[in-house]
Amino acid sequence: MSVIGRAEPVFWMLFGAGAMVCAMLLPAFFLVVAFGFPLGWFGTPEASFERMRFMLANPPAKAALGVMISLIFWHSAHHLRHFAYDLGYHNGAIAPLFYGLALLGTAAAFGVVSGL
Amino acid sequence: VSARTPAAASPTRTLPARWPDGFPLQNRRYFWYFLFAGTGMVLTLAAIVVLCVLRALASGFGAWAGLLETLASPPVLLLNGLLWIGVLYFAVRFLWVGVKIPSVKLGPIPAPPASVILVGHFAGLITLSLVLIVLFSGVVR
Repeated sequence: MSVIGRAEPVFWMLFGAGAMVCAMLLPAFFLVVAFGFPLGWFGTPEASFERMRFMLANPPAKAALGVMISLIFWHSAHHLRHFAYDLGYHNGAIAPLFYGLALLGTAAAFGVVSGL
Repeated sequence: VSARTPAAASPTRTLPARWPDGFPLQNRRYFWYFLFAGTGMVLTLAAIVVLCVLRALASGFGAWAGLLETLASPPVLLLNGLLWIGVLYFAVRFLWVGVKIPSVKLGPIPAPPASVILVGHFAGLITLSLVLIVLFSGVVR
């Protein structure tokens, strides 16, 4: 069995945790980020900038945000991997491709939040 | 026995594998499954938008104000609106499907009925959403 096959429970765990993040936190978070701030629902750009910088200044908040965004990528990777299988794309490159992209997303997420 | 291991050659003649009738979009069940599976792409795009916003935040006020201006333009609002509908569809469908998963019985505590689990899921979603919105709105300092 391949390394990815042996690690299937780990991918399932990341998939499940990511689903909870996507279902419980992402709708409100995306609403705030994509509409609330740009449309000025929560004050001027200066005020939202200061507030966000203040809220995300401490390491636990950065870590939580990094984990949250990473889990979205891992959830999507696992979901799309099995969707590709359903569509008949069942070859050895599918799983490494999607999980590789999730790994890239994780690196990007932690890279960005560490700079806050 | 593993589903991953190819079956040994059998003397029984079989037809080649084919798509089920109505797959992928004609049959209602397949259509909704298809749509749900496609949300994987929507969630990825939503996460990328969030990352872009955080990157602008990390780059300083100029980048932040510039990105907010871009996000407020009608085409981007439309695109993000479609993404948000997709995210919401995922949330509702996931929480609805979750009710069908058998509850884990913890010792002598009986598993709650499905209706309680369903209400609990959506109450959790609404409560967490309100908490996040209040936190980011600056009402609580």
